Amino acid sequence: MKNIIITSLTIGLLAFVSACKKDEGNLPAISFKTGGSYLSHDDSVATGSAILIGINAEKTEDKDVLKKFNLSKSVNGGTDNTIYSKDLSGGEGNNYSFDYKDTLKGASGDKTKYTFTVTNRDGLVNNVSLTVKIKK
Amino acid sequence: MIKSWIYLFSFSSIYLFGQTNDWLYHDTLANVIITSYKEEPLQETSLNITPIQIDSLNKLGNFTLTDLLTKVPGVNALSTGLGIVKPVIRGLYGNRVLVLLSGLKFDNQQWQEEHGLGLSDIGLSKVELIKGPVGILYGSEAMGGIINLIEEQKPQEKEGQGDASLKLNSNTMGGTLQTGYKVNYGKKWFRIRVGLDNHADYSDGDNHRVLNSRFDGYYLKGTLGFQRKNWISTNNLMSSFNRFGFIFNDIYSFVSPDARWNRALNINPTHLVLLNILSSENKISLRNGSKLNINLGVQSNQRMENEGGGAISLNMHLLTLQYMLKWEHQLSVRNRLVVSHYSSYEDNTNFGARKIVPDATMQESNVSLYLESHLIHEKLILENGAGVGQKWIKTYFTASVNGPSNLIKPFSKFAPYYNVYTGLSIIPSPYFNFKLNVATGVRIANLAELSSNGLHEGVFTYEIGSPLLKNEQNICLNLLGTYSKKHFEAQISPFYNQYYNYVYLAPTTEEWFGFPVYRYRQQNAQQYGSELSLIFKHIKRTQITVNYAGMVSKAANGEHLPFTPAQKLSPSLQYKILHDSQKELSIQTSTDIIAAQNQIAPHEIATPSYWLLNIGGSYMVHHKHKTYTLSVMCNNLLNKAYYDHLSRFKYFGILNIGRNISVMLSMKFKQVLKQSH
Repeated sequence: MKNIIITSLTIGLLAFVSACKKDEGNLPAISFKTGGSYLSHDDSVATGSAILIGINAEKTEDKDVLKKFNLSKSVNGGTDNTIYSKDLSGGEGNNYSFDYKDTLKGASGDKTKYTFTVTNRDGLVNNVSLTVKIKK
Repeated sequence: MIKSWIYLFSFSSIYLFGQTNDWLYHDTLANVIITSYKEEPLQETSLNITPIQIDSLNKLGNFTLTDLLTKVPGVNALSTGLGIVKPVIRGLYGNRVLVLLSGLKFDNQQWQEEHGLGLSDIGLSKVELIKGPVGILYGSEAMGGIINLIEEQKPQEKEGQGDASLKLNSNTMGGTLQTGYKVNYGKKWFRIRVGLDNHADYSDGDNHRVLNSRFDGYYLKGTLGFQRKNWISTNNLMSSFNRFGFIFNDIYSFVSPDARWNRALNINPTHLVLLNILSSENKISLRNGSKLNINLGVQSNQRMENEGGGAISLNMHLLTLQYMLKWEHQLSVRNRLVVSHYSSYEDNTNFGARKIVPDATMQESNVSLYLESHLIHEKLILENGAGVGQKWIKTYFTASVNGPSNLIKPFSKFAPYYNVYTGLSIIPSPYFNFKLNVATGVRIANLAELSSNGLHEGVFTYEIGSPLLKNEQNICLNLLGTYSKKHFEAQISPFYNQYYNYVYLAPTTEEWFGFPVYRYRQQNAQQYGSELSLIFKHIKRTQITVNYAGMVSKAANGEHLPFTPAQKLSPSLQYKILHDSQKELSIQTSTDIIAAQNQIAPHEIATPSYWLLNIGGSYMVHHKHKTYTLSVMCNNLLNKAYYDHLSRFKYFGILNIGRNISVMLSMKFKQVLKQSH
């Protein structure tokens, strides 16, 4: 009888464990603004040109609000340096809109990569990036 | 599935525990202890062991098991509120303190500071607390000490025992309810115990409510024991489900106050732990007079966390299979040999969206030899031992932790280790006992230290581990001097602990998408200090106790280590107003005087001094085969507002608990079974 009880409990335990499914989660949403003068994909521009990049970020779960927004930049594959970082609060936790203007400087062929990252309260991270090359 | 567990436990929430009427059991020389290499009188081992009878501590108004242990000098609690607490022995905690449950290692994924021990005192009869490392017997992690949790024992033969108790706490408008029954038929015995905890948010000394500090827990324990000729077997089942409201730095920006005594734990950030343990302890007497102990068990630990998203985000399951063999043989009249072997297999799997450590399997084995020599019979005992072991860790691809774009990739790590122990116990007279031991401990860096690569929830730091971390090793010198006579007892226990490759989390100048980056580093460290106890007892029904503990904890670069306990002085007085065979009435008062702690790690917050006054009383009456006890305890009588140095809430400006009045009612009964003819 005792063996039956112990065996049943063990089987029940293992069944419980094996019944769990992996949850890969819902990352916060982030995308480039399109249309108008917004740059939303890799491109080449002349040195000294002004560019405008727009970002829309949005929470994807009811309470899992956006926590932080970050913009980093790297030139020619170098280190990513944060050039803008913002703790999001209030309504920004639900959705956040951001426009970034830059004037490209540098030598012909230089590549500048912009990475826009949003993090939610659960620590889940999503990002988008684009690379702008200086025309010859 | 989880809901059905909760309902099951809720409907069977009755609970028991036994009572004796001593306030805090303290008899240094007369105990037989079992945590050592073999069962033996306390003074005959050179280990510094404190046996604590759980029954005697139930009246102290504690909220958790760890809360109880802090009554022992040199033991503190690292807390994230009232429910999430982990024991600290001489400044060490988490994976540097080994917890034994039913003779086997207990792992509650304690690698993170906000993961509490998660165990209740429900169903325990005793705790044996060892200060100092005992690596040779238990392998890795027994560096700072061991906390051996011993389940309640079988009743006398042909006897049944039952009890029920209710404890209420004024501060949290909550408490503990438990009941149990155990019976011994002679060749076999069994017990069952169920219980529950339920607490609303606590109030601090300024009478401010600490929103979302609530917690609850549901417990089931069962034992089946039997004896067959030379084989004694004790088989335990333990199931628990705990929920802890969780508080972090910006929680009050999105959590709104609900009704003052609301206990809901499904809306705001919560940690949930589902624990199931099956274990078997077996003692076999062999024909040549030697003894064989075989302990084996399986643990299932599921940790789930809702960090505020309204759904479970972190969901980890740790499955542990382990066994321990111990063979004890008397070589000669004066010499005894113990050979032990421990082995475990662990599997950690992530089921949630948020992952902080990767999926991994871990295997550990340890073998040790120990020789006890009575150089002078029962007066001078020399103990020597050595052990070798290994831990193997393999991590697997886990999205967002160790994928192709991450800094740390899946890895395998093989970490061999060794430990030694030498100790001497001197008993020059029945009143004196001197102990000296030099022992090593070892720890293989845990999964977080080896492989974490992500944001630490709540505090939002980006933490990066390293698979290249070396074994953390310590060597500790422990001294213990005890003098005990009828009316006076004194004990002093200084220690020096040298650490090699101490693992710690260090801030860097790096940042990750705007978050500060911390990396796990290693350097040597030293700890030293002492505990002191003076007890004046049996003087006109009065006992006066004074305990002191103080220590220093520094890294090789001169910086202090975090969460070093402040100096603590605890005088207490107990007086038995009435004491006869039928009734006992006693009162107690104690004061905890805590010094300011300014010896702090970089980025740590210093805490000012404070003192707390506690007062209580107890009335017990025996009637036929029943014992009724009513006790009242008021902790922090003056409602002081204070920060405990080991409270993680200090970083959020949240004070510790204010005045709490705890009332406990218990009933215990015995029944003699009819003899079968």
